[in-house]
Amino acid sequence: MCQVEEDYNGLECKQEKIPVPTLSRKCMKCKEGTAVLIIRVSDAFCRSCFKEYFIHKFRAMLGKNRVIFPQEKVLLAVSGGAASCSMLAQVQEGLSRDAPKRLRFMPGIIYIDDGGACGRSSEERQRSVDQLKSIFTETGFPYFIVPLEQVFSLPTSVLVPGTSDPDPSNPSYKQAVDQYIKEKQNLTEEEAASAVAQLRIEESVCSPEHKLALERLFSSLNTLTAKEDMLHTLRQHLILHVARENGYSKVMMGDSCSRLAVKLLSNIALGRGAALASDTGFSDPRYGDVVIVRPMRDYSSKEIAAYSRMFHVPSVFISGLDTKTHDKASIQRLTESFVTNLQADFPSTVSTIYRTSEKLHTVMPSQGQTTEPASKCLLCLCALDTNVDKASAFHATLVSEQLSQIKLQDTSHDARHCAEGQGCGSGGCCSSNRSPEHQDLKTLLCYSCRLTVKDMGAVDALPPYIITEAEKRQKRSRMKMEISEFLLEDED
Amino acid sequence: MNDFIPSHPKIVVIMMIIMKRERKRRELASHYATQTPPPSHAGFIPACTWDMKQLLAWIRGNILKERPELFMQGDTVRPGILVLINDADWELMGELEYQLQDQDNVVFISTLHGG
Ligand SMILES: [Zn+2]
Ligand SMILES: [Zn+2]
Repeated sequence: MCQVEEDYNGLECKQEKIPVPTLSRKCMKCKEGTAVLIIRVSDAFCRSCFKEYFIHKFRAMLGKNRVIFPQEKVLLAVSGGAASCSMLAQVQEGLSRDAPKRLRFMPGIIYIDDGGACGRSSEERQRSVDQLKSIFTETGFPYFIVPLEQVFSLPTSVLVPGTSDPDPSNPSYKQAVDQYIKEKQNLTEEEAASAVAQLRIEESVCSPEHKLALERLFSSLNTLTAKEDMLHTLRQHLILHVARENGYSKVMMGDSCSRLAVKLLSNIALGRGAALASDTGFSDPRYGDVVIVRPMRDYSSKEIAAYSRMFHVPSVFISGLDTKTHDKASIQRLTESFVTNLQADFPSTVSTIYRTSEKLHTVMPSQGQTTEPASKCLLCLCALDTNVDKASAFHATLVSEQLSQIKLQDTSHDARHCAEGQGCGSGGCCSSNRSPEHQDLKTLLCYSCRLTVKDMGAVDALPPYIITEAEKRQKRSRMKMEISEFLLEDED
Repeated sequence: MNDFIPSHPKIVVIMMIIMKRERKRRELASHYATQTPPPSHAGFIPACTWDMKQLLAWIRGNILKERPELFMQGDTVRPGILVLINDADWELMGELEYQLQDQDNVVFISTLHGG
């Protein structure tokens, strides 16, 4: 029986007195307990040291970054998966009275039920919602269970950073800040008055029209890559809306470091390079008044899975867009299998990528400083990366696209040929003439969101708040252009 | 995607190993914690002692009718699937060479997003 260890730890094999030879490796921390888990390359922890290490890491992460203030309202985004459920368990643990360094913020929970976009039946959705409800009720925290269909009743204000005013007519930064402070005061007053009223949204049901509209939106996206991107965007909008409506100034997301390593690489492939720092960093200030924090970013998915299993963290299995899909089904899936396979042979893969993410900074006007909505992407609310100089790859792509469109216009009178089956293929006159809205919407989007929208069959399938806000911004920029002619002469 | 919430344990297979010594046979009953794999299954293992490698081959042949590549790679589990034997990392126990014992509890947890 000793052979088993010999392969792994020849030295310890000498202790032949141990009757059951398995599990004879000692914990590297306390040197006493029997190791149960290998964390990094050769770090083996015993059960109690692993627990201590796991709990400590969460508080250390929050302590180091000092972004969450005492009594602040923090919304925990929980998907039912192991990582976000562990995050919830860590918050519970940190708030418990006997914890030495108690956390002092006020948590709430949000779950976005995206079953409508992932083709799950209403019975399936109800089942997972019921399971989650029992987990959430157990915590005693207020919670919101919001179906993704609710995006069809979102206000346009979701797309405006830094202020929850439904119609901000070009507020200056100072105005926005003043208003924010005023709003904050109002919110704290309201808070005291109606702590129970928060639970209202919890039971919100979605109408059949919204259900259909959501199905239409996702079926209008051709690739899984674009579907995943759109789902992520809409989910963020809903979370942001609920956070603002209920006075939460921080949102915690359960991204693990394994997850962030995949996100970092796939976002580069998706053309989101300019937004990497805020997409993967510890805190993400893009929305201005609501800051996203990622306290799980120091944990590997292995640690999370082992902890959840060993210490019975309840989680719910919910199938998503990519469940049981092929490894190459989307850029996100492909990157995940690439990173995981590399990690198996080179165990420092994830940590290397992850450490890179900590060093990233964007060389653009820092996010959140400009409140002018037109300078932000309509969908992801990151600073627009499309105002770059002529030597960039982006500009080159744009020029070649314009050139090919000029040609298309010349041949557009030949459209009959296409109709007769002379074939113009994708990218031909038929496909590009199909929807002029693509062009208009594009100017309001960052490079990556342009690609997602480009993948859409019909732009009008987008939820009304996006379309309305887009029209508003277009009108504003047209007006600005008209005025600018006069302004320029004036300046000279 | 995720992002918002990462790493669902998409495949969770829990196997209880029960040996019936008097019959020199090993009965293997398995329970499934999620709806992903097919419904529960019980099988009998021949008299010889099994190691993890044999157990995985048995799982592949008897449980994973659909898309075995989401679970296996070669004769072992694919990267990203955590294997716990009696709540301990199988990397500490010899992985494929581990000799299964009576009452062992083997759990496979996928840490992958699309698993
Ligand atoms: Zn220890
Ligand atoms: Zn964008």
